[in-house]
Amino acid sequence: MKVPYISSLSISQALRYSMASAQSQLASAEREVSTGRLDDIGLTLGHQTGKFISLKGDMQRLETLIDTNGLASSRMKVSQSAISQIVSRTEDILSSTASGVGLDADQSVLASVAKTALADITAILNTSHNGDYIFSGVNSDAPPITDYETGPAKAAFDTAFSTFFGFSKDDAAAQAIDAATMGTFLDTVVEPQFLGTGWATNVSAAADDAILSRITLTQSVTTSVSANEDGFRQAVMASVITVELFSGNLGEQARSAVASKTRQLAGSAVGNLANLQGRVGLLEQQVTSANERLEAQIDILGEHANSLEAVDPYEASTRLTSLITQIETSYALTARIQKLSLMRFVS
Amino acid sequence: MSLTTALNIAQTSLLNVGRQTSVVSTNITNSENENYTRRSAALESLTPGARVVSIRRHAALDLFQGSIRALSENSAQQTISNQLDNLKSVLVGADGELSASASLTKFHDALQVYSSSPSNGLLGESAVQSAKDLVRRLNDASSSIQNTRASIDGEISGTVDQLNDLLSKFYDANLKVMNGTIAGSDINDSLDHRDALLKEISKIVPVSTINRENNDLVLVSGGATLFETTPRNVTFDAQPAYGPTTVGSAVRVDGIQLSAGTGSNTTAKGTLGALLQVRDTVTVNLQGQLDEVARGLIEQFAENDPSGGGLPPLAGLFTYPGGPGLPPAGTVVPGLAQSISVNALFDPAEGGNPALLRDGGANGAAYVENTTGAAAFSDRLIRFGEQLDKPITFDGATGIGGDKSLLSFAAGSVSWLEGYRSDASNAAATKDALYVRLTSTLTAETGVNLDQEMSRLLDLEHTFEASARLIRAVDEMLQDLLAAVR
Repeated sequence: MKVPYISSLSISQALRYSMASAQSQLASAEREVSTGRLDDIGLTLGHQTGKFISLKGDMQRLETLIDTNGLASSRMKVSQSAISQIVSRTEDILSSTASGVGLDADQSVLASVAKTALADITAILNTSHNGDYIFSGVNSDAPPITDYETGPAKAAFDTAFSTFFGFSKDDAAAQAIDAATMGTFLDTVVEPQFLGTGWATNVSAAADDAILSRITLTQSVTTSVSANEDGFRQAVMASVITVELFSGNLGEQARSAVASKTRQLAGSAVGNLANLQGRVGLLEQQVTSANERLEAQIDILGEHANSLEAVDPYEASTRLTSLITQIETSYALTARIQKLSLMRFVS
Repeated sequence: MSLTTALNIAQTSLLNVGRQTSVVSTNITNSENENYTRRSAALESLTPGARVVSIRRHAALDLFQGSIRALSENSAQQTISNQLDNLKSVLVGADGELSASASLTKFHDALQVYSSSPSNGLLGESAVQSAKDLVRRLNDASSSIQNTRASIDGEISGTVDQLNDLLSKFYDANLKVMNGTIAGSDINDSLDHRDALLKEISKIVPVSTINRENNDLVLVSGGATLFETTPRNVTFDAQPAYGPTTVGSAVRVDGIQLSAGTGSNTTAKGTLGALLQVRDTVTVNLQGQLDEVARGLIEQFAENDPSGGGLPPLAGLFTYPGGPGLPPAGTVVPGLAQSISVNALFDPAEGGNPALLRDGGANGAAYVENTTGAAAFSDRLIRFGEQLDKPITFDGATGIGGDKSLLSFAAGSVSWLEGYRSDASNAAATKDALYVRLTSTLTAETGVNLDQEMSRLLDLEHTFEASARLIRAVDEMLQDLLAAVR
């Protein structure tokens, strides 16, 4: 049998090399145990690192979507409560016109109720939220409704009245207007000013297009309602005709025609607005469920990312312990091998 | 047999013990020297009774050859692995925070926030700011890559100088060995020295050796002769500065071009081949990937004619010196990542208007998409956000081509680099283990064992004592004889 030769240098070098490699592994195992994550993710995952980074990036993107959805949700919540306030103002008009049409005193009360309602509806439609007028559609930098009293709408109404009847509503001749003529005036002249093209010219600066929001990475929905919706127009018209025609010199006949038109408009406005609330509710629902989906996705992505980067704490600490044992053994061996020299026995 | 003969033999023995002791002491002195090959002094018989000491050098040729081959491979692989660690730290960062992918995600988020509230000019500014950050990251990453190439070029130049220097030293060492062999003197120290030089050379380039008469050595590297009687010239033209289109010059050994390595488990042997590989392949691919990200951004954020009137798409938020025409689709434009910029028309710091991002129209009124000037017009912003997820065609020359979204291409670039690095690091561990294994076998075989030398010293002491005793005995016998005669 060949007796192999071995040099002293190679004995000590072998120990030195194994010690160096164990110590460098020790440093990385220590970091893994203390953080619970891979020490060098790229080195361990290799070609999968991009996937890991995408997962992290996607989580961040989805979280941003949840944040921005919060803005859309709160806009719709504000819209929702604004619409219900408008509904209640419209109902005020409805109930007042239902009762007193006869006495002059009642009429001025009615006119002032309608006036307050009109001011309120205007203010509510001009609500701004986070710097945007929420009922302006995409035209969100301008308030949607021009104030009636000072704006072109009142002038247009007065002109229309004079043109149609040949005198103003405060004129004594206004007493004589009968119900049918008044009905015609309201249906053919006043109505187009509010429900037709006059609305955009004299009253509203809002855009028909609602604000579009991206609520998931691939889905975009509208998240606002425009002041140009029929319900708002009808509510505004109902209050305007009440304010205008219950304050002039009109006779009882004409007033009853106005009151019936008001009732019809307000009633229909309440119905349309309820529909609108339903639509906003659906949109809110859509955003909420998008958020739920996003959160579920974030959870899944998070789990996936975690499974890529996490270190089993038991495995890591076992590895650490065995490395420490290995290094200690190396120390002990080095000490013993250093003693193992013929020099100690020859003297 | 006479007493005089006995005396002579004992004297020779003393002399031989002296020589042998000197060998033992040389061995002991060099016991920690890796480049030392152990010697032993053996007695040889000539005419009856006469013994001379001959000194043998315990070289292990095959092991030595294997060990320097492994050294070449190992030093190449370590170089690749170190360079990739470097590139990772400047291009990806510890957790990917420096990658184009991370900046792209931030930019997407800024766009999304702006699209949720397009009337808010501050959010527009922040989206443009985020675009500027993204562009700066691309510019910085691109110049880091080019700086790395320049510093590798410097390293190659230094290594070539070192190689030439080693070859001229090798010339001296080889000459000493040859002269010693012809003169018949002890050449062992010269051989050790020559082997040590050979080791240094094989760290730089792969070396195979051809032995000729009188221990003359010829060194061949690949197809080129490194050393034959005289050192051959290794030449290299260093370039002081690197740009994305700079092509580095080749290293020539005796006029023959040294080939660069390929693959993460590199085929290169020696540091030069590995450095050439990183300078000409790895960094060029990474630059190409950044250039493609830049091209993707310019393409995805281009302005289109909203009327469908046939006007060509022109560069929008992101532009480059060749703008406003778009770079050709599907092919890498070298250096685009370095020259891409945010259009000044969008940048509030340069008097621009961030709202152009919402409305369009940086290239004239025909490109305005938000024709009514609506403040909450979000369609365009939403489309941009979604486009980061829509596939476009990337150039396959960058290592990760095909139809991908910009976001996944950017992540793919990280994958490419980290995959390369991880493979290189694993290969480095394997090659290092092989080298260590071969070297330790070599040192085990050729190194000095102190215990053995000590025991040999004890033997020599005994021989010395016995020879001295012998001389005294002969002396006494002669004295006795002379006394009897007197």
